[in-house]
Amino acid sequence: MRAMGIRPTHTRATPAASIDAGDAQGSLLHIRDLHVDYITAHGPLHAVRGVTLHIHRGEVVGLVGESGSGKSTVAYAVVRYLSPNARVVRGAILFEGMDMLGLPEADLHRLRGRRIGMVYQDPNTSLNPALPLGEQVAEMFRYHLAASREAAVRATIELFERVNLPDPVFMMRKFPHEVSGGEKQRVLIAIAFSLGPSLVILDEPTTALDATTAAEILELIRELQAETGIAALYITHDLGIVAQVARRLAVIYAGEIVEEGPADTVFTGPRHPYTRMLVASVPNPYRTGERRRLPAFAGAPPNLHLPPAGCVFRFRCPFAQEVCAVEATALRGDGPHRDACIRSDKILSEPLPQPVCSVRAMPQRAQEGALLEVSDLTVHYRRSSFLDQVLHRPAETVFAVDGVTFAVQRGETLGLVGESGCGKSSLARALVGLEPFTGSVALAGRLITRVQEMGTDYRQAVQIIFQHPDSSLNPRQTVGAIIGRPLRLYDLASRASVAHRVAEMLERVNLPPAYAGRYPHQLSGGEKQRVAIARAFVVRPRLVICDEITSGLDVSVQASIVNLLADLQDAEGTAYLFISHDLNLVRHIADRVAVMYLGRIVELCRATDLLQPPYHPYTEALLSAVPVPDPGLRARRVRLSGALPSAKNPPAGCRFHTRCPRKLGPICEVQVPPLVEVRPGHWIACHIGADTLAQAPPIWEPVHEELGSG
Amino acid sequence: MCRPVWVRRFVSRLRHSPQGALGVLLVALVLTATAVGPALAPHNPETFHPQHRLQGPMQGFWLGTDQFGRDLLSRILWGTRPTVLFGVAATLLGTLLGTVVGVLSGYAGGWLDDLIMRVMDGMLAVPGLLFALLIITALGTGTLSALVAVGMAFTPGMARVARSATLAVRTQDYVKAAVARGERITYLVFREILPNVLAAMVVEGSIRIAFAVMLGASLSFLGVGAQPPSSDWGLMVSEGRAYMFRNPWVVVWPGLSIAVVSIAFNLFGDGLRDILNPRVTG
Repeated sequence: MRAMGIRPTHTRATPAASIDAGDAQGSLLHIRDLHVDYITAHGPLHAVRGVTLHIHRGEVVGLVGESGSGKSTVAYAVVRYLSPNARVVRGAILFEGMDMLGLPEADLHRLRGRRIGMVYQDPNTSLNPALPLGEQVAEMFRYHLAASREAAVRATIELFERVNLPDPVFMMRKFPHEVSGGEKQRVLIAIAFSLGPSLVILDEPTTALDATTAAEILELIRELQAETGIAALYITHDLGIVAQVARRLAVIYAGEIVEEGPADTVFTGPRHPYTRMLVASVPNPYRTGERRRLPAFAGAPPNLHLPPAGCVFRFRCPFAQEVCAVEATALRGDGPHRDACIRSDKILSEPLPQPVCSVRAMPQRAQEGALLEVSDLTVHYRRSSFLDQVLHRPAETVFAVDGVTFAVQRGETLGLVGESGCGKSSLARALVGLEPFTGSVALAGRLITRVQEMGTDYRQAVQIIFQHPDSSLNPRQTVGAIIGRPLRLYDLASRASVAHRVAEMLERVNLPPAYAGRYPHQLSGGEKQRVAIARAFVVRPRLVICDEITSGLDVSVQASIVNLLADLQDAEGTAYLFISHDLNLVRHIADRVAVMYLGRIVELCRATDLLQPPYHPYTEALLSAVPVPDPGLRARRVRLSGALPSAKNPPAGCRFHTRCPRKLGPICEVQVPPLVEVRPGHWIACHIGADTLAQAPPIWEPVHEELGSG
Repeated sequence: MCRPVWVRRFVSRLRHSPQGALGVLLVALVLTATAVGPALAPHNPETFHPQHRLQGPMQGFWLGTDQFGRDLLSRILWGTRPTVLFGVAATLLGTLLGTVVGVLSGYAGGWLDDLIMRVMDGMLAVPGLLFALLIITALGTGTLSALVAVGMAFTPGMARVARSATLAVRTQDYVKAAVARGERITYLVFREILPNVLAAMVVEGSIRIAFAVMLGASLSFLGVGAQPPSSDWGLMVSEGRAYMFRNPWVVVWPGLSIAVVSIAFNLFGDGLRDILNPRVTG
């Protein structure tokens, strides 16, 4: 284990004393008792309360929390980059012994970038769209390092090479919109590390990226950090990601740090009930099982306008007692692993309440035959401008979905996985008649070849739930009107009985019936998604298409939504087409999984088939990119080269051949591999034989030797 | 249940927007004058006082008198109603026409959208006053034709606003959900899209009332709007013009009144935009 017996003693001493104490032990950043308020129309919002955090030189600390937990506020307070309505009420931030809160603006300016690097979530807004990449990066070198023009250009080329960008000189001339998000983020991360700071703050740097790209970025961060020995504060909501980069973790909930300690002990032995539930609610790819329910949280975080006395988590805590409401909490414990639960010693042996029947029974199939048969479905977008028509130029055609064939059985969950741009949402929209398509769709044997043929029967039987809860409910209608409308439309309830049916439906999605009178803006994200689910289920559909419905939600809310879907499925026998970019989530809840790449299905199998090879090489890469929320488990990395090709001009032959690490040769570039049944019920579209694919080494392996020095 | 929160938020945001607060105050003043102005007038606005012609402010005639000895204060107070009502009514007409055209165009899309919007662009290219004069030439002079003219002059601009708001609403998932469950076009337009477009139209309309008041006054000034002996402010300026050097108050008071009403609705509209759309102010 780490030779780190000494930890900074969190004394409540005078600032001067603690600076000395911190420096003596190599403390680089020292946040002490930080309180930050946001001034809002409803009075001050106490977003961060009493946060104390240390980062030592060369150390990577993960700050984990859900949205609204105050994690970003803490990070931005360090560089004093808070929004104008934020006030630092109390506390001290010392960086290399300097008082960051009292530093003059001019000094602060020099410090940002030069001594403290920052990487933000969205690479698209971090670069100037009007300047070529090379010029922007060279400018940063010239400004921060006072380099000459030639030296700056040389440094830029070196930097592009370091982050494995193809053809660095050519890349320098490209504009930000001409390169992918992953490539931009590579450049930004490399800049943050290369200006020679002693601390880099990473604010969710992989959240906006696809799974395979995120895995590469994470690896780059790890490499750069190991090379340079620069300390980092890694802010994320994703426990799986932070497990791979951070050596120490701080878990923040509702503005307070509830647990802090070495990453491996926090994961293997979380002490605070919140951390325990958070760790449990992340599906572990290694301990997988099909049709599973996830441990879920009840309730919502407290209102931070009036932070409760006692423990902030007690309203959602399954172990809460009266004493939790009275006694003030603070991080306690002598060792490096400390938590803020006053009863953690007593409850540690008590198991978390498990959701009823974690692994669900398989559905009973009353009728045989598929519910929905999709064959050779193609969705293409054609954009022809007026100018194109005048000049008789051929219109640009994008094949978003290109000849997809699959079936959804009655009562089953078919997971559809793919990265952004693979056509999964276009497929969903075509199936509910929002996009014109070619090919055919058959619902219980009734063939449909055009959108116009989708009658009331079809539209009632096939419902869709969208990704963004904010935009899927009309802000000018009450919840009751939103849920009641489909009943009226399909004439399923009389005017008098609609209210009753709506109340019944609200109860079934675990919302109080009184919510019928509310407007969407009065609900939280998770509650809005429940209303959207209620709107879909109130007409007793046979198939519900869930288009990334948990992507915008926090981990804890995601678990409860997934469990709700499971309950409804058990009661109604509804089939799901569950679309997601998160392969890890899909394989926990789906019966079968389809993997899509650039408009085509490359693999279709039972969820349990994903436990061992054969895999399609793309599925293999997706699996290996799943962040493992367990430092005791190591994933084999499968690198994909290059960016996702444009769907306007897809590669010939196997569409994956441009990025495939196992490409055979010319055959992949010429011939389209057919979807072949390699095992009963397991289909793969690859020129490599099933036996060869089956010999791939396993993706996950437990790490037996002790982790080195990180 | 929702109302008190809404009102409280409105009031609290108003405090952060001093111009908006001033606008609300001025508009309240103007509307009060519109409602009770004639009752407060000390004289009949059309009664001649031959012995007090072209007087400056004096006892009995607090703002002075015009060339016929009519009381200016009474004429201004009586004139509030036609002037303000003209502005509001013309704007309403323009908003209504613009919303219908814009929402239809935005919802239809394709070549119909192109056709409608190019026609609207053509209309926008003609200056508002000129456009209004063109319509009056066709309809004949009078308050009603001036009203229709101003309303139609406003239609293309309002249609643009309505169309862009419709395009934004159309991509929302709740509209897609409604299309997916097979809603008719009337439901989509009147229940899903229109209610979400209205906020933008109300804001745009409230700013345009100021322009409508000015445009109406201009038309009356040119003699194609309100006709004598109306106490319409634009007409008052026009009639008083010849006596401007003997008694400047004859044009100062109606001119000032037009300015105050315009500024009032302008500030009010800006304030309303800030309140309904807090992101603009940050």
